[in-house]
Amino acid sequence: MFLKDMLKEELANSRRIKADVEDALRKLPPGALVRKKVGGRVYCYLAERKAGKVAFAYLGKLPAAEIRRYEEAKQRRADYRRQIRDLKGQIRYLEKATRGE
Amino acid sequence: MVNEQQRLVYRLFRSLEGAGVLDHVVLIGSWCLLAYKHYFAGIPFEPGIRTRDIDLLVPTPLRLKQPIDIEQVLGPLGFVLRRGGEKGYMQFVHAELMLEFIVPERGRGSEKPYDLRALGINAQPLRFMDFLCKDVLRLPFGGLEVSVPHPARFALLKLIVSGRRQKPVKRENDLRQAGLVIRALVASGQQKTLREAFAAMPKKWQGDVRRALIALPDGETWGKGFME
Repeated sequence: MFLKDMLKEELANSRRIKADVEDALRKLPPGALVRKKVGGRVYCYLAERKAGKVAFAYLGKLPAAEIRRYEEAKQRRADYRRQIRDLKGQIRYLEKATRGE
Repeated sequence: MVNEQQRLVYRLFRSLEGAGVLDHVVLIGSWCLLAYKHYFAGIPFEPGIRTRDIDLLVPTPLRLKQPIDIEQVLGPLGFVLRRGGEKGYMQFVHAELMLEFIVPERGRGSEKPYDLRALGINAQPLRFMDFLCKDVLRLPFGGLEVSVPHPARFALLKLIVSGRRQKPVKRENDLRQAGLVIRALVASGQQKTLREAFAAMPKKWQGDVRRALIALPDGETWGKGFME
């Protein structure tokens, strides 16, 4: 009984955390920064998937801080996606263990 | 064996140390048991189940040389900030952990979050935390040293808190943890430390400890070792 109650608590936590991480993922700036070298100079583009196709928006030369911001967002996006995948696994397991309650 | 969750806890503490915060916090809650393994080396001590909750006590007043933005420290580890309930308590959540900052509640108390401006966060004020802060040990933890309450104080507080829990599962977990630590303290001949910690409590708390011990198997026998 004790173990089952703990698992139920963990299931509720997993569901809430999944909602939180999904929300954080939605709030990240969209797209990925792509740097293209043209004539020895580096220009930045924002690659974004729109209606199933990848579109590039020209950003020009960006300050280092802005580039860092995009890189951090990219890293976080990958991390949040991994967490969501893990949380889905946890939820599936815990639902089974608590008989879907 | 170190699992994913434990690895994240170690990374968390390394980040807090790097930011200069680790020396200003005390690890409380069930994760202390992992640090107590070193304290009880040579004595059978198996911490068992740990939940996702990890609580860090910030003894107040907090004196930092310069402000630190905790969100900036935890963000790169994948933690997401959650503002809980109507009161807006801040919690940092991750698939593996739920981190909360706690401060001692003093005086008449308040349900409002305590503003820890120097860390850019708020914390939940909780009763009894000063009791934990008064005897703190530095123990090895994931290649670092962390501050934890003395096991005697940890166990006695768990007994008190168990009686105030709404959820039976939480109450049972508190009692299990208290029992585990008291057994190890008795096995290592530390009844005196337990006695001293018990004597340092107000009479009302001592009554709560007595009542909780009844619910523990062998609790009354152990109690005789430090309550008389």
